[in-house]
Amino acid sequence: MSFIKDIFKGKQNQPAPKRKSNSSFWMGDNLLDENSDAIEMNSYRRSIANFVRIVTGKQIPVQFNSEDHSFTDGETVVISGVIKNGEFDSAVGLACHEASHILLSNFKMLKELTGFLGGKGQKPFQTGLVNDQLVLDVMAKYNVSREYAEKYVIISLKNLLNWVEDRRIDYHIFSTSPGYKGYYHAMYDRYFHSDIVTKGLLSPAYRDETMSSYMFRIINLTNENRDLTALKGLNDIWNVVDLKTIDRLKSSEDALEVAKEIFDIIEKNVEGFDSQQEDQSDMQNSQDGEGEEGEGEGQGGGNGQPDPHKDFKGNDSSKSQPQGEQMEGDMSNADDAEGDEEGEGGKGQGEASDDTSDGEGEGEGEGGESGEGEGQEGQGSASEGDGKEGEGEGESTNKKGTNSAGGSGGKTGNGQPLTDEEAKEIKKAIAQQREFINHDIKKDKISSEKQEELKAVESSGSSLETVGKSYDNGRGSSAKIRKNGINCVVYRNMTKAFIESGACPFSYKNYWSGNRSDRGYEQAIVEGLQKGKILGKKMQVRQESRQTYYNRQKKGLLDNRLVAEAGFGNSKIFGHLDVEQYAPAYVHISIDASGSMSGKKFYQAQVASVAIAKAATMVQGLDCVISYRGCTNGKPAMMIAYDSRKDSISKIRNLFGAICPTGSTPEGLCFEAVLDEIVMGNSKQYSYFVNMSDGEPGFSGHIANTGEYVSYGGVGALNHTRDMVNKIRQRGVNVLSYFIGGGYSDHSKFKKMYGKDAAFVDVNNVMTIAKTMNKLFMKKANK
Amino acid sequence: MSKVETNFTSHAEAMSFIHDAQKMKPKQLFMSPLKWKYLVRSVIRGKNIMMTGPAGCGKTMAARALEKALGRPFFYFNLGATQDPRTTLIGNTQFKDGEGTYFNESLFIQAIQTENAIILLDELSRAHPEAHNILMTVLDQGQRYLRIDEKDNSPTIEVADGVSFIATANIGTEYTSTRVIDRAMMDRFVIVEMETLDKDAETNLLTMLYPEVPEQKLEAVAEITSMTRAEVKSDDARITDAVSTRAAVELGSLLYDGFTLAEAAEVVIYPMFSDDGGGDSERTFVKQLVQKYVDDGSDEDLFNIEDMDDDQW
Repeated sequence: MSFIKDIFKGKQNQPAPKRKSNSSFWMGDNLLDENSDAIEMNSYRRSIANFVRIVTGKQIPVQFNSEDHSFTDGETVVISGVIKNGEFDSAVGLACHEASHILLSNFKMLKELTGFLGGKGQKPFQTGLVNDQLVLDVMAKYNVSREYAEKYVIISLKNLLNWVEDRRIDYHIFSTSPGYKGYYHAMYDRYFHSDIVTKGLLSPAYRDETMSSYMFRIINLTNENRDLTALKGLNDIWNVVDLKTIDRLKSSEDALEVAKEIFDIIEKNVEGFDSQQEDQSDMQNSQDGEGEEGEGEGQGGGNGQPDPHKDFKGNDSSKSQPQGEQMEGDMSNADDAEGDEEGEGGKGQGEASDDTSDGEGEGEGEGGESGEGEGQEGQGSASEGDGKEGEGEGESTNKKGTNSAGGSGGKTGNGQPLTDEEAKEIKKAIAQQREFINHDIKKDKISSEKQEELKAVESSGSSLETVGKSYDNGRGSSAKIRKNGINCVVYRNMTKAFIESGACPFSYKNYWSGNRSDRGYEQAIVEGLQKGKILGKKMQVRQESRQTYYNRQKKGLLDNRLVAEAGFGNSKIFGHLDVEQYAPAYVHISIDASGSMSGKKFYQAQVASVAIAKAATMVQGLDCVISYRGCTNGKPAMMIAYDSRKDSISKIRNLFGAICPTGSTPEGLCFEAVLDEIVMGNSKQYSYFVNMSDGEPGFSGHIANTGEYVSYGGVGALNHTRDMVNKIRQRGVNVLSYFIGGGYSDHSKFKKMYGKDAAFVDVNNVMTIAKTMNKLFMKKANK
Repeated sequence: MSKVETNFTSHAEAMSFIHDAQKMKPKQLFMSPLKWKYLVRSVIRGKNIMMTGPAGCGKTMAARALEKALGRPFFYFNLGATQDPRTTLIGNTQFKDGEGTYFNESLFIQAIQTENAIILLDELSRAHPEAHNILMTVLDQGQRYLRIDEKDNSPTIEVADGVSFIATANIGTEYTSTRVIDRAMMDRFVIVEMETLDKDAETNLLTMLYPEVPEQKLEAVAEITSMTRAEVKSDDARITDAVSTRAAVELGSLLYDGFTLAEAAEVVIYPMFSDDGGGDSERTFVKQLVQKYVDDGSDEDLFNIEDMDDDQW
């Protein structure tokens, strides 16, 4: 038995071979590239949310935003949705990190600590969470008002606590989830172990005894190039934190105690407020989070030579007053997010001081939801300036500037002094780190156009459906399709934003803003609505129902009036009710929106389908869905443009003019993708699938997973389409297929796919389809 | 009380037997003490028992454990595999040269005539409807007979004293090929709902079965399976099926045979989940879950503290 155990020791301790990325474990090696379309991006973004579920074991709602924020309030996790290839691992690490906050952090305690800043709850000095002596010491040391001292203490503690707490919870997941270690390494490498951070740690910068130097070096204590001699108190802080035994901290309360000890060490060594005082800029920038409907005007940086007394004593306090909404939930807090979303977009302001590096107002202008806060030119921000607001450059007053990203002076590090460029990069890295510990992670910028596209695609309810696994053309390529399938994009909700984003494959992006040539099918909609009205009036008889009661029956429901006759030997004392009415009906109109349909064919198809949809709105019990099929970015695409069960006819009136044909004809693949969406038919409800097309199925694109280029066509595609049509029929759906115009070399092919009932209609006579449908809708059903 | 009590000299003896039931439970069977006690009590009182629960949760195992614990005659009938219920449950008429036709009674008839027998009707929910019809009278405490033929005055077989029927069934929409067991049939049984094992119980089971495999690995298996079960029950489930205890045991056996957890998951777990939909697929979720427990070979030192010079400390 021990022999077997030895084998296990060898085998089981052997780590898995290193992959090129941790995410490839579940994504395969087919990672997203720069050209990945929005659908794929959404699909993989959504799957990152799974990690939150796995780590927490709870149903925590995960939201994606394109606002570049990642945080949690303990009930929801918000993850920035902008993820590039190569950054998946760090993005997953971030999702795990936020999830672990939910699992392990005490949000109540955090609120108790910072709530008073926003006017909520008692001060932590009153509840005993924080010793009042800390405030008194700060007041005495810096000669500042109590109000300012309180804020200074709490904001400093909050930042330190966030850092300690992050290490505590990160280590917990890291050590209990051996498969997720790579995600954490990727996250740490990105935020704390980057080359520029290392350079900053080794440089002479951040060696003066200021709070900002301490914060920079504490935040980067996990970097192997930490220099514990860089600051007087750093070694003591290192010993207090004791990362080797970080798992001794079992709760957020334990982390707070460590944060207090660190604060104590810093205060013993810091000689005064430094020009780069991050806390000060924090406090000033707390205005960003006020949520003033996009009017937040955060200061891009602290003043070059701040006069602490001006702010500390409360003069001009209307500007320097930290607003607790922003700060109160930095583990993080939903209020925080709210504030950010609404209030971001400030100006990079600040005066450059002589001794600061380059005087550039760093940061990125963020309009937030309201889009009002545009970055404006900063005016020489001295500090790293939080970097949240105002993307602008100011003139440096220190033209020589070879130092100092975080303050000058102090000891000399072993590394080279930083160049202006490096100092700028360090500022950015610091801003990013500070956002990290405050859970306000900015992901790499993505163009606003791409963001809009992502949002629009999200609103389109798109998904990828793997199809084509039964396709067989007798050649090797079909075997690949059978193995992996082809991802068909299904858009379930066509919206104006979706069309305007350009992500919609079946529409003119510039329909509303472009020239008249983009409005070629507008008239078809007008015509269809008019004809639909006429059809609808004819169908109004569908509203009627007739009830007939048959009495004196041998079976059925007991007829009360005849009960007495039972005593006289009459056994026919039952009755039943016959209800004769028009059966509810469902019609799914699927239009081939391939390029060959362009012109009159598509025009007429639009007229007929819109007419049916309009008529359906005028009677009860008739549901109509209109979908278009084609392809996009090497994938089959199916767009459900209208569904009378949830859309009003105004959608057709307003949006359908923008729809246009494009691409090829992946007929059967598209049908397969929406099989489950077609309402089943039975004797009580009629269901119709109406197909309008003009050519044989054909498509070239990529297969799922491997992305190999394959073709779908010929006899294999005919058979596959036929099989899908048969599957639709098996659901009790009547399939009516119309071939519009000439083009088929062999009519038998069309009939092979759609059955002998398939009809050929002249391009000038497409409205016959609507009239045929009208007759079918008038079929009655007995109930 | 019932005739079964004749096995005991007094009610007190029966009570004592029931309350000592826990001692009879085999170690391999992970079942709550209350349910095991109820099971034992139901058998000694001659009740019919319906064991329900998801696939692979140990229903059949519990029934077999009962047989061993009580030392009673045991008969097993897999009704899910029965194509001709009449032949299986009653028998058929055969012809022999010189002797003419004769009735060849089934094993089931012998079983019901065996006193104190435990008869396991496995997979009752998959049984042919005709089997349900045949069993209706057999299972009814007021009737307890089997009619050989439908003809008038055809012979009937009485169910012997102390015979207890234990049926197993999967109940739920996720089980295909199962049939709805009608109310009248259900009424003939007391229901013992088998719970799926929780993480700790499953770890214990796996550790007991495969003591050579590092417990950490078996714990990982148990965590994966229990998480899939929790996920299936959630309102917004990412997966539609859970990994059963049976599959967990199979995973354990693969680990025992030297497979890594990643390899075992690939052959046992992933095929259970569809990969349709790319990032949105069930398989993606399960892979992400399994990944948590598969060491990725990364450095153990997240904080870069292992290689520090001593003077840095």
